[in-house]
Amino acid sequence: MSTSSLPEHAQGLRQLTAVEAEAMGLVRMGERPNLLRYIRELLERREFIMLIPRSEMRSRSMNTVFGSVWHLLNPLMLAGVYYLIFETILGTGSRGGIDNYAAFLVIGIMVFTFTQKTLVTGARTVVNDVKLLHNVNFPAAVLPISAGLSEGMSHLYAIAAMLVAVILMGEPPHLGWVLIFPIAGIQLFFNWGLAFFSARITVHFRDTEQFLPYVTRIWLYLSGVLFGVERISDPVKRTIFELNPPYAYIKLTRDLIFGNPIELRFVGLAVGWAVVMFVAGFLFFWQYEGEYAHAA
Amino acid sequence: MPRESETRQPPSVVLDDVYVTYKVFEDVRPTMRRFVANRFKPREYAPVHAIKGVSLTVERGETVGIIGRNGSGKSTLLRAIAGLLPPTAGAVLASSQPVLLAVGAALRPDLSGRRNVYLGSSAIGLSHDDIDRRFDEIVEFAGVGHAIDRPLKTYSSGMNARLQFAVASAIEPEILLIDEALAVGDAEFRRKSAARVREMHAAAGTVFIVSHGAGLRDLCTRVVWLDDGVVVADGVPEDVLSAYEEATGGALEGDPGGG
Repeated sequence: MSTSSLPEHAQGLRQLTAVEAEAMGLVRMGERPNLLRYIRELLERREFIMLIPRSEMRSRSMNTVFGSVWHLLNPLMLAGVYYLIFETILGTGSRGGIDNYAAFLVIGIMVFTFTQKTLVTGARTVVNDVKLLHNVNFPAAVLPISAGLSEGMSHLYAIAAMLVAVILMGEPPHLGWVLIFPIAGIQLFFNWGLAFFSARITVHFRDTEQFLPYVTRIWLYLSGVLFGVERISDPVKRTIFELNPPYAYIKLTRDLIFGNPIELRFVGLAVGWAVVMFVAGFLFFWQYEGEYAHAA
Repeated sequence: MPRESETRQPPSVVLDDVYVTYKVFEDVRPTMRRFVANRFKPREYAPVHAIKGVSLTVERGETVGIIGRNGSGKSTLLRAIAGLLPPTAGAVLASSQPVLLAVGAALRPDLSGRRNVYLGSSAIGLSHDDIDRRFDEIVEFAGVGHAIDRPLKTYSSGMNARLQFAVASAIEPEILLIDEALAVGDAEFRRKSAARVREMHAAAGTVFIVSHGAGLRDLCTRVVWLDDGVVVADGVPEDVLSAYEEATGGALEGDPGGG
């Protein structure tokens, strides 16, 4: 080190220690911000958070003629297959007081797909965008949040398709259907929580992405998508099924569309699961902040 | 005689014995199976010590060139200063958030240059209003003209690099970090970008430029030579660059700064 040849204005100034620099008002870089600051940084990046899904949707629709319509095909086809098996062939679908099994299925699958897709997309976010984290300074939680938002925007199309489908299946539209949107909004928070978990877990185990489809498939069977949970006669077993988070969102949406009275405990479950999952997921994700760029 | 700390202006950036170790897993994929086989111990990795004990105190208004061979740790050092790669040991401190001039990863090739200007600018923290205000300036500086409404994937690599530089330098941070950006584009653009760096320097900003060595002589007030993650020399550009040229054999090629 040829200290004597330092530029004029830096002449004779000695190296400072971290403690001295901190005393002079300098801030440590690369430290995990505390929770409040992290939230504030995220809020400052809200425009970026909103722009990512919009750009993604636009770039997706540039490459396909039908754009987002393709994403509706899979759940609708799934509903068709289940209808064929459980109603047409086995004739058990509408047991347990389900008047319109086709509509029952479509709603269940559409609502469940929202959660499933956010979980799977969330798993990819950090791992796929590690190069971005390597080059641009922003809280990593931006990635799962915008991924959830992106799925939320697609879900608006899914809701539209679902409503058209159930009208065609003979459900008369009524004003109460408007409440489907706030329920989807609450579900979005639940989904975000899952996305935080899956995003970080995938950083630790890349295989998460591979086995998630199996998890979500089994979860679908357990979420009362195909059959009425009311049919379960054992009260303990029924309660277990009712406590399954996606079921609350499915149940509320079905009751709204079929014009059944809304049960308050499901509203409580829907909100409760959303809060618990979002907070837990956010904390879990935040805990590893600063390390995501290392996970190249 | 007053103590130095009482009279001294706060510096811009302080690196205090910084170590950066990458967790590189080489050919081993982190899988659940291995995780179970390793009895739930965290993944084992071959640590790569990219930066090994670097200390620097950089005053406000300095333009610091960082030179060294490929793999000497230049880019890692820059990312540590930006806070993108937190130091494994030691500390990096700055008077304000340094901004790395690199937005390429945020851009989407399918979208138009216009949308990418917004995407890239918001990635580095500009608000929509800020971008609106600076949009024309960014496009002019990038010199892409009407191509701004064409998809980014139709741009030449030079146009692409120019747009990235224009977007990233629009933020006007107090501490700017540039990673080899001056080596892109044609001679005219390199002259323009060197002028922009001088502008930022004149505005009492602190600039770090990573380079293989070309073009630093005119631009920098100080050059740090890094080799294998350690500072070999740190001083005025003439001295350090001469020593570097001598050690690497032969003069540095090209001079984008001089034009």
